[in-house]
Amino acid sequence: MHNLTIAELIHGLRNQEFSSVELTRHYLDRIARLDSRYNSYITVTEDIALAQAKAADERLATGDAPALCGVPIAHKDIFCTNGIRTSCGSKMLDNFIPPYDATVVENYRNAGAVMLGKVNMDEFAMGSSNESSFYGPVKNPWNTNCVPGGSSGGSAAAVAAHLAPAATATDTGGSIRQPASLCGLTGLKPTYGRVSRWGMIAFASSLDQGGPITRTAEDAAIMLNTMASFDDKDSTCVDQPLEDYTATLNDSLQGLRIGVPKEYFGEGLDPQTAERVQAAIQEFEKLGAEVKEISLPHTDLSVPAYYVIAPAECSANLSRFDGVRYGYRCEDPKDLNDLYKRSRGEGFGEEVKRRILVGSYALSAGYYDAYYRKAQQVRRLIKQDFVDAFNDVDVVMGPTATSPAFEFGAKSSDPVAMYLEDIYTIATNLAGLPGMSIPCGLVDGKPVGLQLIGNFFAEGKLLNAAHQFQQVTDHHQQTAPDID
Amino acid sequence: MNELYQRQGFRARRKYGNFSALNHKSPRNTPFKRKTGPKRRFTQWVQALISEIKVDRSDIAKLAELARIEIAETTVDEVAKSITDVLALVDQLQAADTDGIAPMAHPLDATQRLRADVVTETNRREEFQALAPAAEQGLFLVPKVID
Repeated sequence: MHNLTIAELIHGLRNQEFSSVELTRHYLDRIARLDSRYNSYITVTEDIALAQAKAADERLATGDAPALCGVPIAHKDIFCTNGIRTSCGSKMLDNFIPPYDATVVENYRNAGAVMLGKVNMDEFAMGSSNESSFYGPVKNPWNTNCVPGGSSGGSAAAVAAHLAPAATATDTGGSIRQPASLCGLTGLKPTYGRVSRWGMIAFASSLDQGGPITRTAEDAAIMLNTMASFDDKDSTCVDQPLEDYTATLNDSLQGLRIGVPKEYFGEGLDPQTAERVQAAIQEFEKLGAEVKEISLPHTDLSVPAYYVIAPAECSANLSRFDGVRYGYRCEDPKDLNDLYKRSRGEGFGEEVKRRILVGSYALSAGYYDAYYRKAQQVRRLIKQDFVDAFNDVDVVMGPTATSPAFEFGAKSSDPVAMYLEDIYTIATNLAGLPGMSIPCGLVDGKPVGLQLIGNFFAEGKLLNAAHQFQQVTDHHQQTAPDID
Repeated sequence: MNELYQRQGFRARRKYGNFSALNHKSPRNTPFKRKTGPKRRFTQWVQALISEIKVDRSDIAKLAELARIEIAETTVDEVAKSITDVLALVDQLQAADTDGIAPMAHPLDATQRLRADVVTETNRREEFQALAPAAEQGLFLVPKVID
């Protein structure tokens, strides 16, 4: 059962080939037996999962079953879950039990999905390797000496190890697409504003966006159908009509115009990764697409702009963690300032503190114009690159990451090297566009991903292209070794 | 990479007059001084300038106070170095010509949506205060602020 896709699970549940309780137990057993290898779960919600599965089976029996009725999934531990610890990978929130559900969690609950548990992540979603989690690093199922990517490393590892058929994730600078690439999965970051951020613990509010990590593009479409919604409670959510993303999966790619940015194949890209990505793009030509080289001239500036904007927003967002109303509080504070400083100093990890300090620097008096305003101007230039590109092409394609998964410790002592890991994904967040990663082959036994970037609200087009690619290739069907 | 941003930084400083250290002055009202180097051959001097965008121990102390984060004494040098590295990375921005470009806050340039002025939240004070490290009689407790 753990080798079935979401689409197959829905089919199997509706045809009573297996019950949701059987399916859920099967996954819970696998997690209990195998997750010590990967550390992908922070919290397993066994009792809730079985209760939800039982309720789902009752609804399936009556024929009144919503879209994902009885399908088990895992939630990234950044989405608040009513009555269940939501840590965001941080000591700061190790004791935090939210009194409400995130809109994304509510959407899945309403769709009948079963929650297996909460999966690991870089602390406050800040990282590209999952090494910054308070709960320890997640291991890549393809090679447990290597990182799974981040920040949604737990989501990716759980799906790659078949410890969940799909997982929710979030992407601020590549945190869905890069781990999907490194773990051989399909990951989709929707257009900014497509998925509600309510109850999704904020890192950089103008960049954060939720999305699914799955094994296939078809599953990503099914997952996004439930995840996407307009939400009054998120003031940046965009009131755009919802669509059925599965409806256009089988459209022909004849005449699809693909743009390949020359800047995405420059220095720093592993040559074997480049080869796999180029081969994948040629597959699209066989499917009838036209490929042309394009230029996104401000690509080089995306990482610098991001590392002003994201830390600045993070320093503001994370000021709420003060040891007063919830979360970690230091022992025996001698006065209020000591309480703030030690609670935050002890509660946050190194990378989170570094970003708060960088953000505080960039926003401090006299430096605002030179850093934050400048970065916001560059952000518009980066967006304009894409606006110009989409006058001529329908989808932009290139690598998701510079190389396959790297070993633990390879970049953790050099923050700038780690930041450059997201060089191909960050511009998409700055521009607010939807982006996707799909597996396109192996290098040294480790997966690499092809990135697809679409115009605003063109998730359907990306999913269609990815699905058609997956109809004629089998990269997405490769599984990590030792997956029993 | 290091060479790249040094080169771009050079262009930046010429373009970005106001923030340039060519006049050997730091911007007014800045809590952190940009250190200027001694006069040397021009190129060397500019390169040195970029590499001297440096936060030191006292800068970290100020930042830590602003951000209300205690930085352990034993890690201050390491933190200062890594923040210096990050600032060197972001300094590439100064190379961009952004004259007349409006800053972008929302990808779709959306404006704040308004709602009707009606009560939508219920009072859940007790539930929320149950999460607090210390709360009593409807109040969050902190160390004494006023004698």
